[in-house]
Amino acid sequence: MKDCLSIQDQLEQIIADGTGMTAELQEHVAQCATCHAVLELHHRFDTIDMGHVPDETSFQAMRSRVLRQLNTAPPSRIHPLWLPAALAAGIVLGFMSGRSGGETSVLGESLASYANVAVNTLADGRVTLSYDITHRESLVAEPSDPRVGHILAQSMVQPASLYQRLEALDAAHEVFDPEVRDALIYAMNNDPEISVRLKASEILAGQEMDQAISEAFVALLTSDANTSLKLNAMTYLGRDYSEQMLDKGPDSADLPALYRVSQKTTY
Amino acid sequence: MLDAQLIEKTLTGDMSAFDELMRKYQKLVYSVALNYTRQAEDAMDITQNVFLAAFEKLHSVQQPDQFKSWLMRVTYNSSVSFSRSQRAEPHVALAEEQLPSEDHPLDRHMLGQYLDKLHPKHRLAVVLKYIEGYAVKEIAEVLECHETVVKNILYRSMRKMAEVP
Repeated sequence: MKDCLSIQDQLEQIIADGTGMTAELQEHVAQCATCHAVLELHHRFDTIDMGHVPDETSFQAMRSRVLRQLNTAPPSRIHPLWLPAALAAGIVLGFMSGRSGGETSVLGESLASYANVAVNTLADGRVTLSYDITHRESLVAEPSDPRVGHILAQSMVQPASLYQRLEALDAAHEVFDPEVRDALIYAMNNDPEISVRLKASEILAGQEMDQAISEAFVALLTSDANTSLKLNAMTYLGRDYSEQMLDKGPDSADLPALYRVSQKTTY
Repeated sequence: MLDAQLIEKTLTGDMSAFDELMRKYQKLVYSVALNYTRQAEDAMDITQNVFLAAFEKLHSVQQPDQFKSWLMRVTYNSSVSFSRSQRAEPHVALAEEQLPSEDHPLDRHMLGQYLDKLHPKHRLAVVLKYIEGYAVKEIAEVLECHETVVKNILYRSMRKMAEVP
């Protein structure tokens, strides 16, 4: 009998595409318990009973949850290609209307960086130049100015570098408005880096009572596996109930969120 | 509609195109995830997360005609992450009388017993071949390796699983 190694290629081929057995392989398998077991298992795997598969209703519900989540995300996060596309389109229009054809360069006054440059020559000899542009700007405003919150919120959820997202979260300590709050909740739930998620949850846990934050933490407690995130959620939700007790008295306070969570969670 | 067209439409903001992409691959993603979680509810959660992650990274798909392979890699990564996060949970062993035997047809639960013996990547190869009916060439695209490597992975996986119980 040949050894297993010498008929391995044939066995690999049978497993890969169901090629028929040679006499040589048949002889080997008849005498080799291991290779016999391998072939036997291969045939059994070919007739697996897959059991229950969810119906379309379950999948439809899942798709609805996905679309709902995507629709509530900040627009720049939803369509990361829109911003450069819009910038490029705007610049193209500028060229076409001749506004950029004057003496002063639109770009010359700022330190700009360009990417994805594309050039098309028009019938009249002019060119259409399309590109993404980023340049640095400054804004002087009160912390309560909605533009401040908007810029911070966007920088938390843009696909920027990890460092930039963490820096934006640092600044969120100073500025907190509904848009920043929503961005923090989004970052806590969705950022691919756990360090960003943790930082967002720490900032949220330090905020005043707020229904949106409370709901986000309840959802996190029932669905997220990360212990540190859960601890921040419990800190906030525990404080939430204590503050209600002080404000309204023990009889009027809402059912503690942590209790509601315990009803949904299997330990 | 082709995947490439659906991706292009999605990237211009057409969410119905993304819904169509999800509808097209939901069972495949769910089925692969189920072989890592064994719990239907967890597999559906992974499916949801896979599509969310896929949407986020859709603009980075280099070859839209290979979206299916790319989606399988996203599914694999999500499933393995999930499995690792659940590692502390006690493993539910089959009672002796439930152990797979040659006379008993394999069901999904028994299959899980076999698949547990495999490296996660090898498990993906086996799942794609025997459950999803992928050809070796398609598995090679998902695993980003040569077809001969896939054949060898399948062979070694069967050998390892044949050592079960």
